[in-house]
Amino acid sequence: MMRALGLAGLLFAVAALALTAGQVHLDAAALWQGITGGDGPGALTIRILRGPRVAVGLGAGAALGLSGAIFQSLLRNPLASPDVMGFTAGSGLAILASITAGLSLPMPLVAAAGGLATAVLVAILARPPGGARGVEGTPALTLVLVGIGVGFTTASVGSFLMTRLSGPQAAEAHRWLAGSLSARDWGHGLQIALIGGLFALVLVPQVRALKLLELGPELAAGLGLRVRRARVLLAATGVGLAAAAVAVVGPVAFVALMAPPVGARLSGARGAGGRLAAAAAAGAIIVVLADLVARASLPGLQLPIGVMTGILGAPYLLWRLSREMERGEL
Amino acid sequence: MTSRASDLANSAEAAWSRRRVLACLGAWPLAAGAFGAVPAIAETGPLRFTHTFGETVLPGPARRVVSLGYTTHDALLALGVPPVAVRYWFGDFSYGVWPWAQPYLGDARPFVLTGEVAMERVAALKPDLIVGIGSGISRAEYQVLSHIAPVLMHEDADTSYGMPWDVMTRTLGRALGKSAQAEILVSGVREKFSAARARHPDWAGKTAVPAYHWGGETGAFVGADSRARFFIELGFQPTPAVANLSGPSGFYAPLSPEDLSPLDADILVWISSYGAVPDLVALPMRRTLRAHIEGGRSWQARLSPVRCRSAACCRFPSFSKSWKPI
Repeated sequence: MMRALGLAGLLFAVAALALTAGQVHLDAAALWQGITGGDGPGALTIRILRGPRVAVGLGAGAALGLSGAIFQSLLRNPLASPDVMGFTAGSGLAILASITAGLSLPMPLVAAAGGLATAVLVAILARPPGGARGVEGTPALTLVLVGIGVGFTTASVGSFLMTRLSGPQAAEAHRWLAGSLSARDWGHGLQIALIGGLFALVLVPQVRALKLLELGPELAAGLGLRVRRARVLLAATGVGLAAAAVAVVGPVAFVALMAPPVGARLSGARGAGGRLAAAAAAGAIIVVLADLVARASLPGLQLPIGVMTGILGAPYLLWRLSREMERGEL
Repeated sequence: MTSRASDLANSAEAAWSRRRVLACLGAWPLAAGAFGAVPAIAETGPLRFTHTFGETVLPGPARRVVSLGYTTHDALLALGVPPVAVRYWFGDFSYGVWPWAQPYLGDARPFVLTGEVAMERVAALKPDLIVGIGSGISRAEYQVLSHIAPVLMHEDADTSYGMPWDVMTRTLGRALGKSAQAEILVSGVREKFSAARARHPDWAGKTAVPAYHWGGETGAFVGADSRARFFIELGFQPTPAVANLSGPSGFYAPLSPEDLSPLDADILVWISSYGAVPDLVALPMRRTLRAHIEGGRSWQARLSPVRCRSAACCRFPSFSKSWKPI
């Protein structure tokens, strides 16, 4: 319990730090002015520049963390996450395709459609030959590896589509694909809060199913769970959460992969619900912290957040792979 | 401001203008004539600009300018308003300003912005104008930046990096209340071009292509790009194949390494870094181009920038005797 409170405290501290620190140092008076609604440079920096950025980072990070936790529990594999398995790339491709086709559909819907289509594709491709038992019979690692393959294909199709875009569109799409929190406004913050919050609410009644599934499908079925339906619902919720994040920050890599174990380690949470909450908090912390480092560590130089999470996440993925190999899982 | 102080300011302004006009036109009589045409009173009242993201209104001529375009600081410097921040493009030059424009910096120490636009930094500089022309910023970035100061963008008909140099110079001139000076800069460059055409009537109708080769990609500068326009202004025309290229960006078009025939012009100019020369020489299909076959026509030169005349010519090396055959 103490550690869970500690994680909440850390989340609060990181958010406060991200509001107070940046390229430009603001003194206490300017900060106070910005927070209390005065006028002047402090107000501009806090309310227009940093505030929405931090809000969107918190929301998107939490959604990615939750999504990662769902898939890692569901597949009982620490490598399972919407970014590694290509779902966020699928969401990204769908948005890119709609930009290329000149459609102006709502981004979250397009992202969700792309993510779901990719997830279905991965499930079909990973199905073992003559797999009468469907996805249930597919080993988790197969799903992860097929997902990685589908993710690469998706990224390549995305690169191809990029060449079809006009200059400004291509520049925008390129920046967006790397993942960026630049120029977000409160509308983006509201969007991720509403959609992410909605999916989080949808997730609440499914926590019990997740708990049962962790016991293994046979035992879960024995305890009265409709395994197939529960799995599909959980996966759809996970894809929806990832898509909600992708729609506001782009397919930021590795957050969903790292957040669940980091959250579990920091909070010491054991239960499914606790681990989900901890993963959400850890995702938010990772995104906000990575964005802070990306925008404030070097004077004059501002990097997109995707660069930062890539720098953090790639070594983590390698370490995780080596752990899995030691344990004989790979 | 006392009248004495404003006189001083005016004479400082005049000294600036004279230097620039001299640099621009290079000829005394012309310079003196043009200088007389500068109006003493700057434009006043709100200045309105319609552009690709809508309309921007300036309450009056801008003085503290953040230049986010990759080359817009050249025009601002030529107009005598050194920006408070410039966008880093490339090259190891202090304040991101290339040698031709360094003298125009004076005491200015602009902040150099790299990567994504660091908006807090822009806000902290308290600009009264942000130049987004040629910066590639998105509509979302434009909207956030507009909270800080009025933002100028390229016109709707232009691509992000394709606002013609003369239109850009005039737009910036108007925003700074220096329209007359912008006019002088533009006509000065125009006169240089027409003088060059008059000296070389044989250039008319010949084909010329500015080409690039970097990162393993070969291509040509096309459309309204200033490198492409430079040769057109000198009387050349692009090869028909290049004239038909638009490329994904509108200002450069990559070519297949198997078919460099669009580059087969009377004059082929590679605009690349010095380090790219070995790669360029090794391009297999280069040997099929007339420039190579007819021999003795391929040269390389270190970038030896001429003194800045205006934004237009600033990114081109002078045709100097130091060129070596490759």
